[in-house]
Amino acid sequence: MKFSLTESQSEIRQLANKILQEQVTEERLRSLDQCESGERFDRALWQQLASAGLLGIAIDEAHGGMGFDYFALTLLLEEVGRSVAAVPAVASLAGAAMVLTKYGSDTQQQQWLPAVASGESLLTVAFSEAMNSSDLTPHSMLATPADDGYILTGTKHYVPYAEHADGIIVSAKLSDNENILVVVEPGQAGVSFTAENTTTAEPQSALNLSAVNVPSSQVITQGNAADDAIQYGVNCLVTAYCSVQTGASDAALRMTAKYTSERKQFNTVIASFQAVAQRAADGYIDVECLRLCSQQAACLLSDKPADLDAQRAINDAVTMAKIWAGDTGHRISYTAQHLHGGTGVDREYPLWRFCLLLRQMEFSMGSSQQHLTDLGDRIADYSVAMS
Amino acid sequence: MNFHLTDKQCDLRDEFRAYFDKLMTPELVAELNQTTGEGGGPLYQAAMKKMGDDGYIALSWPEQFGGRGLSALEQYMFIEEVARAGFPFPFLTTESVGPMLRDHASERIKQEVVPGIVAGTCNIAIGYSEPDAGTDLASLKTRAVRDGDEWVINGQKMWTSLCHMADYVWLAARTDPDAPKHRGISMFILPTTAEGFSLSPVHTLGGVRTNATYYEDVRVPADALVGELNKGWKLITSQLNRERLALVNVGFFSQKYNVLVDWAQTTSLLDGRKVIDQPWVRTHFARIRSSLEALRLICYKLAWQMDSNELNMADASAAKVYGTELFVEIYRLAGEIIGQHSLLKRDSEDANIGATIENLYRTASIITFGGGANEVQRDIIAAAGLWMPIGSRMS
Repeated sequence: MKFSLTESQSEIRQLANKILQEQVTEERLRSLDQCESGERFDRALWQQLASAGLLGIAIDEAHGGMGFDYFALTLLLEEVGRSVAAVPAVASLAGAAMVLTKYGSDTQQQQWLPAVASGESLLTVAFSEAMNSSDLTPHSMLATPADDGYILTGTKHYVPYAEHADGIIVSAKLSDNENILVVVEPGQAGVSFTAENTTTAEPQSALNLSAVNVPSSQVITQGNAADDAIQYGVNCLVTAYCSVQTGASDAALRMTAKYTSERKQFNTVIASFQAVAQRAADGYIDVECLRLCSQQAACLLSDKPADLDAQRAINDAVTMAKIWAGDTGHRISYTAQHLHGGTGVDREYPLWRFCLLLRQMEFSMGSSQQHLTDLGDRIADYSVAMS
Repeated sequence: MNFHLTDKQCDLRDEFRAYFDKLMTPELVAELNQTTGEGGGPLYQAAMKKMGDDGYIALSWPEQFGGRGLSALEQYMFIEEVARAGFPFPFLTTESVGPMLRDHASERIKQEVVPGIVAGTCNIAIGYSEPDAGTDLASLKTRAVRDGDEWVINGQKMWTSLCHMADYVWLAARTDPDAPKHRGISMFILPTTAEGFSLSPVHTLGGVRTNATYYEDVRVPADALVGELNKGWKLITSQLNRERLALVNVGFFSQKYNVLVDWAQTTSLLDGRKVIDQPWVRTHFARIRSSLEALRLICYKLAWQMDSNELNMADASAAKVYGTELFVEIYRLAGEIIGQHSLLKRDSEDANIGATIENLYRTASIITFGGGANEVQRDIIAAAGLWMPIGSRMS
């Protein structure tokens, strides 16, 4: 048990914090607010992060990255949440690049990872389907074998930055007990998008594949390995949302503490009212619970699971972190808005973007209740024992 | 950052667990079940003495005092195993009062009292609260006046738990009525055999007995003063963080959770389903499990902070608030899972696992205000963790 960062982890956190706090100014966020629907993407910032090496935190040195683990990447993600930066860090770095690093072929890694690290290419992930109770088991995206590779037909939803991406990692059902994971390129025949305008205005799309021919060179993995890869990808994405949520919750709460310490009513700062201070204190506890559960999930995900029990411990830690991400995000958002009064909803004041982000993270890849249900089923199955 | 125990820590846990598995004989468990978990019976006394003989009482103490010099994290793990086993270990004596006596008492007191603590033969009750001094403890009125070579003590203490089995009272008394309230308090160690000392029982909601204690011209030698004159407040507060951490130890419920899950997996409803086949029961368990996980991490982080001298006051208070309110909530959820059988006490012939929850419910009602009322803890969090200006009441 150790709760401090190593020196290099501290440096990554400081570097990410410095760039994002300096660059993501209110002015810059406002200009992004004016963007056309589907265009809220701070490309200049993304390139700055690339130049600083931060897009390659968890990409091998052989592919132009820093060669750190997934946990180190979540330090960047927390800062992305803290700054509400409009960048595709979760989808491209925590989702797609992690999956390719662990399960991609040498050729696929060579094709994509150096370009992701340098910011030349953007990847995204398409796991989610509408009305599917689990992101682990694709139902509406179907694959059928072809002469070379597979034909994919179906629809995925909520694909982040899909129309900006150069490659999309797609999960599909091959048969009743076999799944497949492939990379689809948007220019391929039969690929189309339907824009989905989201709460935060992060660009997302439904991805429609109509008999898209996916050659075997674009197949990442299939069979049992595909299930492992999908589980790993989902774990990396869910934990990434938890890390973003940690940063955003912490920032919104601290903004609230500062505001209530300055705002006067009845001739005194409102923070001196116990009802105000105590609600903020509950927020502090919530953020701490979320932070610790997220950090644990990120650390465990960076380990190589030795056996089934270790793999279960990882899955359970991720699920528990997302339960906290949903609950904490919801409570912090309303605490922050409420204690700010009207100022909290005024778009001239920065809180509103945090509230929207907290809501989006809460519902992305499973609400608290959905994860509670999953965890409950696992408890029935193998008890998720306390050590 | 690392969320795994080291090999050495795993070994230590195994050692503690094996030790308590052996210590908790069915006879001792039966005796403890009759005393609402507060100990005091002959088998409990024998177990304490055995722990003393085995060097298991003052594990966190430095080696020269008969301990093993455990780190705060290792000590947390020890308490986790004690709590898991359900042994009513007097951790306030061993972790709080004991170290203060060891480090600050006069030579005579050190010789007379400290070896008994380490040996498991000396019991100490805590005399802090008074009828009019609870959360605002520093307003206590019990007086100690110097008279020649003695101190003369007069006053009343409240909630002096375990005092009816104690050899000494660790007493906070006012020694300078003219100083600001935090600066006129001193600490004393007072034998319960002293003339002028008396007590009457107070029976609580949960069935646990506590006491009101009375001090009428009780005379103790000058060297019964512990630490510096009028510096008692600093002594009292020096161990608070450790006390808070021990109070919310996840060990109080971790094994009970495992047992309850096992029960729900194996126990059938009349319609043929297992208890755990009910969707709401699964969600309840998931709620319990994910909340306990956060508590586990909060406690380990706090213990780690103590060892690395990075203790954040807000985090200690956060642990106290979160843990105590969580236990209250968990005991409710667990009771709901078991149903009306969770109202049956242990001595009911058809009592089941619910009797544990019945017992926990009755003893948990004090934790949110005991050890520092949660409102005050939340104020500390707002001030020390979020830099919010504290309200006028605090000044």
